Amino acid sequence: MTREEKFEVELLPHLEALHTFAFHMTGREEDAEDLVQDTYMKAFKFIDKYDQGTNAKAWLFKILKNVYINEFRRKNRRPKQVDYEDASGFHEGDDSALTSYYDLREDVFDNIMGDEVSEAIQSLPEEFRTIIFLCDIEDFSYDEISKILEIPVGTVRSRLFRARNMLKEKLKDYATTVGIRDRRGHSEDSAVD
Amino acid sequence: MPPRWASGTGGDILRILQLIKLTIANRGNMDKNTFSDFRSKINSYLDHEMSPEDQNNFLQQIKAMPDVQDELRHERLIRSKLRENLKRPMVAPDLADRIKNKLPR
Repeated sequence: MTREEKFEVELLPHLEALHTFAFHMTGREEDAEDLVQDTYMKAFKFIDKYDQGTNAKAWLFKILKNVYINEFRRKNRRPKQVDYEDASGFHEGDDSALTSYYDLREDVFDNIMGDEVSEAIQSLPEEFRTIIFLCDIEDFSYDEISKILEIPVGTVRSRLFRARNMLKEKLKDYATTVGIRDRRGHSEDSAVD
Repeated sequence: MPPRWASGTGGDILRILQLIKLTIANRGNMDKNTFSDFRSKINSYLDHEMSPEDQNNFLQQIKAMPDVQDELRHERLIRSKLRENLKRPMVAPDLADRIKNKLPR
Protein backbone atom coordinates (compact mmCIF):
# COMPACT_ATOMS: atom_id res chain seq x y z
CA MET A 1 0.00 0.00 0.00
CA THR A 2 1.39 3.42 -0.96
CA ARG A 3 1.49 6.31 1.50
CA GLU A 4 -1.39 7.94 -0.40
CA GLU A 5 -3.50 4.77 -0.24
CA LYS A 6 -2.78 4.35 3.45
CA PHE A 7 -3.79 7.98 3.98
CA GLU A 8 -7.06 7.55 2.14
CA VAL A 9 -8.04 4.18 3.55
CA GLU A 10 -6.93 4.56 7.16
CA LEU A 11 -6.98 8.26 7.95
CA LEU A 12 -9.55 10.07 5.83
CA PRO A 13 -12.55 8.09 7.17
CA HIS A 14 -12.09 9.97 10.48
CA LEU A 15 -12.62 13.36 8.87
CA GLU A 16 -16.05 14.02 10.42
CA ALA A 17 -15.01 13.07 13.95
CA LEU A 18 -11.90 15.23 13.64
CA HIS A 19 -13.92 18.13 12.28
CA THR A 20 -16.35 18.00 15.23
CA PHE A 21 -13.45 17.81 17.68
CA ALA A 22 -11.73 20.74 15.95
CA PHE A 23 -14.93 22.76 16.07
CA HIS A 24 -15.26 22.22 19.80
CA MET A 25 -11.60 23.09 20.35
CA THR A 26 -11.66 26.30 18.33
CA GLY A 27 -15.32 27.31 18.65
CA ARG A 28 -15.44 28.47 15.02
CA GLU A 29 -16.36 26.51 11.91
CA GLU A 30 -13.78 28.27 9.70
CA ASP A 31 -11.03 27.60 12.22
CA ALA A 32 -12.14 24.00 12.57
CA GLU A 33 -11.65 23.42 8.86
CA ASP A 34 -8.16 24.96 8.93
CA LEU A 35 -7.20 22.90 11.96
CA VAL A 36 -8.40 19.69 10.32
CA GLN A 37 -6.43 20.45 7.15
CA ASP A 38 -3.28 21.20 9.14
CA THR A 39 -3.80 17.97 11.08
CA TYR A 40 -4.06 15.88 7.93
CA MET A 41 -0.98 17.55 6.43
CA LYS A 42 0.98 16.71 9.55
CA ALA A 43 -0.40 13.17 9.60
CA PHE A 44 0.69 12.62 6.00
CA LYS A 45 4.15 13.94 6.77
CA PHE A 46 4.55 11.37 9.55
CA ILE A 47 2.48 8.59 8.03
CA ASP A 48 5.46 6.22 8.05
CA LYS A 49 5.39 6.36 11.84
CA TYR A 50 1.80 5.16 11.90
CA ASP A 51 1.42 1.39 12.20
CA GLN A 52 -1.22 0.30 9.77
CA GLY A 53 -4.26 -1.29 11.39
CA THR A 54 -3.64 0.28 14.78
CA ASN A 55 -5.74 3.03 16.32
CA ALA A 56 -5.77 5.61 13.51
CA LYS A 57 -8.47 7.69 15.14
CA ALA A 58 -6.59 8.10 18.43
CA TRP A 59 -3.39 8.88 16.48
CA LEU A 60 -5.17 11.61 14.49
CA PHE A 61 -6.78 13.08 17.59
CA LYS A 62 -3.36 13.31 19.21
CA ILE A 63 -1.95 15.09 16.18
CA LEU A 64 -4.89 17.49 16.12
CA LYS A 65 -4.45 18.27 19.79
CA ASN A 66 -0.73 18.97 19.24
CA VAL A 67 -1.32 21.08 16.14
CA TYR A 68 -3.91 23.04 18.07
CA ILE A 69 -1.62 23.68 21.04
CA ASN A 70 1.67 24.21 19.22
CA GLU A 71 0.60 26.06 16.12
CA PHE A 72 -3.00 27.05 16.02
CA ARG A 73 -3.40 28.53 19.48
CA ARG A 74 -0.07 30.33 19.21
CA LYS A 75 -1.00 31.76 15.82
CA ASN A 76 -4.31 32.98 17.21
CA ARG A 77 -2.64 34.28 20.36
CA ARG A 78 -4.83 32.34 22.71
CA PRO A 79 -3.31 32.22 26.17
CA LYS A 80 -2.31 28.95 27.74
CA GLN A 81 -5.00 27.65 30.05
CA VAL A 82 -4.39 27.37 33.75
CA ASP A 83 -3.61 23.90 34.99
CA TYR A 84 -6.75 23.49 37.05
CA GLU A 85 -5.57 20.38 38.88
CA ASP A 86 -2.72 22.42 40.31
CA ALA A 87 -4.73 25.56 40.79
CA SER A 88 -7.48 23.89 42.74
CA GLY A 89 -5.23 21.60 44.72
CA PHE A 90 -7.37 18.72 43.55
CA HIS A 91 -6.15 15.28 44.48
CA GLU A 92 -7.01 11.97 42.98
CA GLY A 93 -8.32 10.73 46.27
CA ASP A 94 -11.50 12.72 45.88
CA ASP A 95 -14.73 10.82 45.61
CA SER A 96 -14.44 9.24 42.19
CA ALA A 97 -17.90 7.75 42.62
CA LEU A 98 -19.26 11.20 41.89
CA THR A 99 -17.64 11.21 38.47
CA SER A 100 -21.03 10.89 36.91
CA TYR A 101 -24.16 12.71 35.90
CA TYR A 102 -26.20 10.80 38.48
CA ASP A 103 -28.05 13.82 39.88
CA LEU A 104 -28.73 15.43 36.52
CA ARG A 105 -32.32 14.94 35.49
CA GLU A 106 -33.00 13.34 32.15
CA ASP A 107 -35.68 15.83 31.13
CA VAL A 108 -33.10 18.61 31.26
CA PHE A 109 -32.45 17.57 27.68
CA ASP A 110 -36.08 17.78 26.59
CA ASN A 111 -35.92 21.57 26.33
CA ILE A 112 -32.31 21.79 25.27
CA MET A 113 -31.20 22.07 21.69
CA GLY A 114 -27.80 21.08 20.38
CA ASP A 115 -26.61 24.65 20.76
CA GLU A 116 -27.09 24.67 24.52
CA VAL A 117 -25.21 21.42 25.01
CA SER A 118 -22.42 22.65 22.76
CA GLU A 119 -22.32 26.02 24.50
CA ALA A 120 -22.17 24.33 27.89
CA ILE A 121 -19.25 22.18 26.73
CA GLN A 122 -17.50 25.13 25.09
CA SER A 123 -17.84 27.23 28.20
CA LEU A 124 -15.66 24.75 30.08
CA PRO A 125 -11.95 25.50 30.35
CA GLU A 126 -10.08 23.90 27.48
CA GLU A 127 -8.59 20.99 29.42
CA PHE A 128 -11.99 19.95 30.75
CA ARG A 129 -13.77 20.50 27.47
CA THR A 130 -11.26 18.24 25.75
CA ILE A 131 -11.59 15.40 28.21
CA ILE A 132 -15.41 15.44 28.14
CA PHE A 133 -15.26 15.35 24.40
CA LEU A 134 -12.81 12.46 24.23
CA CYS A 135 -14.52 10.34 26.87
CA ASP A 136 -18.23 11.08 26.78
CA ILE A 137 -18.64 12.04 23.14
CA GLU A 138 -15.98 10.01 21.33
CA ASP A 139 -15.94 7.12 23.79
CA PHE A 140 -12.16 6.77 23.98
CA SER A 141 -10.85 4.66 26.86
CA TYR A 142 -8.82 6.25 29.69
CA ASP A 143 -5.73 4.63 28.25
CA GLU A 144 -6.36 6.11 24.79
CA ILE A 145 -7.09 9.52 26.30
CA SER A 146 -3.92 9.28 28.33
CA LYS A 147 -1.96 8.74 25.10
CA ILE A 148 -3.81 11.44 23.16
CA LEU A 149 -3.33 14.09 25.84
CA GLU A 150 0.03 12.75 27.04
CA ILE A 151 -1.03 12.74 30.67
CA PRO A 152 -1.13 9.89 33.22
CA VAL A 153 -4.30 7.78 33.47
CA GLY A 154 -4.77 9.06 37.04
CA THR A 155 -4.91 12.61 35.72
CA VAL A 156 -7.45 11.53 33.09
CA ARG A 157 -9.63 10.17 35.88
CA SER A 158 -9.34 13.23 38.11
CA ARG A 159 -9.78 15.70 35.26
CA LEU A 160 -12.84 13.83 34.07
CA PHE A 161 -14.27 14.00 37.58
CA ARG A 162 -14.03 17.77 37.60
CA ALA A 163 -15.12 18.18 33.99
CA ARG A 164 -18.31 16.15 34.46
CA ASN A 165 -19.21 18.02 37.60
CA MET A 166 -18.66 21.35 35.87
CA LEU A 167 -20.72 20.34 32.85
CA LYS A 168 -23.48 19.02 35.06
CA GLU A 169 -23.63 22.35 36.89
CA LYS A 170 -23.78 24.27 33.61
CA LEU A 171 -26.64 22.14 32.32
CA LYS A 172 -28.50 22.36 35.61
CA ASP A 173 -28.10 26.15 35.61
CA TYR A 174 -29.44 26.27 32.11
CA ALA A 175 -32.39 24.07 33.02
CA THR A 176 -33.15 26.30 35.99
CA THR A 177 -33.10 29.46 33.89
CA VAL A 178 -35.59 28.05 31.40
CA GLY A 179 -37.76 26.83 34.29
CA ILE A 180 -37.90 23.17 33.51
CA ARG A 181 -40.83 21.62 35.33
CA ASP A 182 -40.93 18.22 36.87
CA ARG A 183 -42.90 15.77 34.73
CA ARG A 184 -44.41 14.23 37.82
CA GLY A 185 -46.75 17.19 38.06
CA HIS A 186 -45.32 19.52 40.63
CA SER A 187 -43.21 22.46 39.71
CA GLU A 188 -39.55 22.59 40.59
CA ASP A 189 -37.01 25.32 40.61
CA SER A 190 -34.19 22.91 40.30
CA ALA A 191 -33.39 20.34 37.69
CA VAL A 192 -32.03 18.02 40.29
CA ASP A 193 -33.87 14.98 41.59
CA MET B 1 -48.30 -28.61 47.63
CA PRO B 2 -48.12 -24.87 47.17
CA PRO B 3 -51.17 -22.87 48.20
CA ARG B 4 -53.54 -21.98 45.39
CA TRP B 5 -52.52 -18.34 45.37
CA ALA B 6 -48.92 -19.34 44.75
CA SER B 7 -49.61 -21.11 41.44
CA GLY B 8 -50.34 -19.67 37.99
CA THR B 9 -50.89 -15.94 38.17
CA GLY B 10 -50.61 -16.20 41.92
CA GLY B 11 -47.12 -17.63 41.41
CA ASP B 12 -46.20 -14.51 39.49
CA ILE B 13 -47.46 -12.41 42.38
CA LEU B 14 -45.36 -14.48 44.74
CA ARG B 15 -42.28 -13.93 42.61
CA ILE B 16 -43.00 -10.21 42.47
CA LEU B 17 -43.40 -10.11 46.24
CA GLN B 18 -40.11 -11.95 46.61
CA LEU B 19 -38.45 -9.43 44.29
CA ILE B 20 -39.90 -6.52 46.27
CA LYS B 21 -38.69 -8.14 49.49
CA LEU B 22 -35.23 -8.58 47.95
CA THR B 23 -35.24 -4.98 46.75
CA ILE B 24 -36.17 -3.67 50.18
CA ALA B 25 -33.50 -5.87 51.71
CA ASN B 26 -30.96 -4.56 49.20
CA ARG B 27 -31.93 -0.96 49.89
CA GLY B 28 -31.71 -1.58 53.60
CA ASN B 29 -28.35 -3.22 53.31
CA MET B 30 -26.97 -0.79 50.83
CA ASP B 31 -25.53 2.01 52.87
CA LYS B 32 -24.29 5.24 51.37
CA ASN B 33 -20.76 3.94 50.91
CA THR B 34 -21.92 0.80 49.16
CA PHE B 35 -24.10 2.79 46.80
CA SER B 36 -21.18 5.10 46.18
CA ASP B 37 -19.08 2.03 45.32
CA PHE B 38 -21.69 1.03 42.79
CA ARG B 39 -21.67 4.50 41.24
CA SER B 40 -17.95 4.12 40.87
CA LYS B 41 -18.47 0.70 39.24
CA ILE B 42 -21.08 2.14 36.89
CA ASN B 43 -18.55 4.69 35.72
CA SER B 44 -15.87 2.05 35.29
CA TYR B 45 -18.31 -0.06 33.33
CA LEU B 46 -19.46 2.74 31.02
CA ASP B 47 -15.95 4.16 30.67
CA HIS B 48 -14.66 0.74 29.50
CA GLU B 49 -12.39 0.43 32.48
CA MET B 50 -13.54 -3.09 33.40
CA SER B 51 -12.16 -6.30 32.00
CA PRO B 52 -14.75 -8.46 30.18
CA GLU B 53 -14.81 -10.76 33.22
CA ASP B 54 -15.43 -7.85 35.60
CA GLN B 55 -18.15 -6.56 33.31
CA ASN B 56 -19.95 -9.91 33.47
CA ASN B 57 -19.57 -10.09 37.22
CA PHE B 58 -20.89 -6.57 37.60
CA LEU B 59 -23.94 -7.21 35.42
CA GLN B 60 -24.65 -10.44 37.31
CA GLN B 61 -24.24 -8.67 40.62
CA ILE B 62 -26.73 -5.91 39.85
CA LYS B 63 -29.44 -8.21 38.47
CA ALA B 64 -31.27 -8.14 41.78
CA MET B 65 -30.53 -4.47 42.44
CA PRO B 66 -33.10 -2.32 40.67
CA ASP B 67 -31.71 0.89 42.19
CA VAL B 68 -28.30 0.26 40.68
CA GLN B 69 -29.84 -0.81 37.38
CA ASP B 70 -31.81 2.46 37.35
CA GLU B 71 -28.65 4.35 38.01
CA LEU B 72 -26.86 2.57 35.17
CA ARG B 73 -29.75 3.24 32.78
CA HIS B 74 -29.83 6.90 33.82
CA GLU B 75 -26.11 7.41 33.38
CA ARG B 76 -26.16 5.70 29.98
CA LEU B 77 -29.13 7.82 28.87
CA ILE B 78 -27.53 11.11 29.93
CA ARG B 79 -24.38 10.25 27.99
CA SER B 80 -26.34 9.34 24.89
CA LYS B 81 -28.33 12.59 25.18
CA LEU B 82 -25.07 14.52 25.36
CA ARG B 83 -23.94 12.84 22.15
CA GLU B 84 -27.27 13.35 20.40
CA ASN B 85 -27.51 17.03 21.36
CA LEU B 86 -23.96 18.01 20.52
CA LYS B 87 -23.63 20.43 17.63
CA ARG B 88 -21.77 18.81 14.74
CA PRO B 89 -21.17 21.35 11.99
CA MET B 90 -21.46 19.89 8.52
CA VAL B 91 -18.19 19.04 6.84
CA ALA B 92 -17.81 20.82 3.51
CA PRO B 93 -18.46 18.21 0.80
CA ASP B 94 -15.20 19.05 -0.95
CA LEU B 95 -13.00 19.13 2.15
CA ALA B 96 -11.64 15.60 1.67
CA ASP B 97 -10.70 16.41 -1.93
CA ARG B 98 -9.09 19.70 -0.95
CA ILE B 99 -6.99 17.88 1.64
CA LYS B 100 -5.92 15.22 -0.86
CA ASN B 101 -5.03 17.90 -3.41
CA LYS B 102 -2.81 19.64 -0.86
CA LEU B 103 -0.72 16.53 -0.18
CA PRO B 104 2.88 16.88 -1.35
CA ARG B 105 3.59 14.88 -4.50
